[in-house]
Amino acid sequence: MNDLKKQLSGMISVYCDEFKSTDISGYEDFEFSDGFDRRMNRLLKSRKKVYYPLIKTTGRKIASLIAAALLMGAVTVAAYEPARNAVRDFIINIFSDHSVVLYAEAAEDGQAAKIMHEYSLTVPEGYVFDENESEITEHYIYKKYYSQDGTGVLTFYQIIENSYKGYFDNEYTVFERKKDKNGEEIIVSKADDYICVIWQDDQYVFELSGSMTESEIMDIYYSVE
Amino acid sequence: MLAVYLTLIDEEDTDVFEMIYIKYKKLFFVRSMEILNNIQLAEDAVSETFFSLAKNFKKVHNLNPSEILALAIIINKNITFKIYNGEKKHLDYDDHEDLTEDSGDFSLEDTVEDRAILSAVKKLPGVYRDIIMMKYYYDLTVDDIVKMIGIPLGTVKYRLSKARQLLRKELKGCERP
Repeated sequence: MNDLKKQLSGMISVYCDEFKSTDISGYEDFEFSDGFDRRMNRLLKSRKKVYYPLIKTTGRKIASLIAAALLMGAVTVAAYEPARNAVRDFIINIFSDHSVVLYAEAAEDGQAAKIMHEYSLTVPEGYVFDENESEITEHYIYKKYYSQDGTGVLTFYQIIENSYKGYFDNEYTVFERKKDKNGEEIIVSKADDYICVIWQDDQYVFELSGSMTESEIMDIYYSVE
Repeated sequence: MLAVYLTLIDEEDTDVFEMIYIKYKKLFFVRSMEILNNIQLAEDAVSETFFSLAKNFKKVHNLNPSEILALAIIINKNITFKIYNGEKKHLDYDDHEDLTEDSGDFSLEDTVEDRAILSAVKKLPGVYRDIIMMKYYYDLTVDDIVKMIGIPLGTVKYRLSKARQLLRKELKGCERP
């Protein structure tokens, strides 16, 4: 611990002591709303349910990705002719309470691979790019879009192929291997109204997620170029 | 995105996370209520605090419970003010005087008395104290802070720069002989 940090450590007790001395008189009988409890219980319950041991064992080199999204509104996008290879290298491992979709050719430690080309997609009208939530790194690109009315979210990942690892709760998720209209293989996962499409090309794995129909998300899928 | 956040929390961390939530959720709520005076908004502030903490837990999972609690307090306060400012449509938690960019270097610890920095940080307005802690104690990047408390990048940079200026001003006269 450097000197500055050591000195600042004295602030921890300042924050905690002040916080714990908060006067809650008047709130002793307060009950959180059902909506709040549902939201937070879902957070806590889900934490107990999924993924941690796997994450811990594979740890540092993986990017664990899954997107849950809400999307409303019509989708009208131009279709392109993207070059995609079959999803030949994906494996879906089914565990008792979750599934892992991963690229089969795991990278050797230290293997260099960087994003060399950024793919674009055409999002439905009314969606805006969320700069704060999106990330562009050497190894993955994560783009997040919100609908202007605040009710919809769309997420798109472009990841170097040997870094990809996605986690899905198979209690509610159904996986299908399909072919798009160009004959290219894709993986489609569905959970209620949430749908996710995963595919790859020569260099990257892509994941597109939203809460919408398969037809709607495939329109966006075809716009990726 | 919930599942993403959750995958970023190691198993051994979950008890600390849950302990903080169960033990202190009402305190967080009361703190938010003191500012927002609105039950719905205060609940939103609390839930946003814990979702943010979950999302970023990987960055702080090695810290002890008190350190994580202190970070949650900082997150909660800043998110509460963000909500408050959004509701009031004006900013009470920031002033926006012209900002002189500083270098970003911060090596004052070499030139002042050992306890001076802690004393000076204690005297800072809360918003600047928080940003100093996030940056220099929790080693969070500006981008981390943006994501953690959900305010614009420019605001984070402004607060950080202003905090350094105030700290330097406060530390004048504290140099070692």
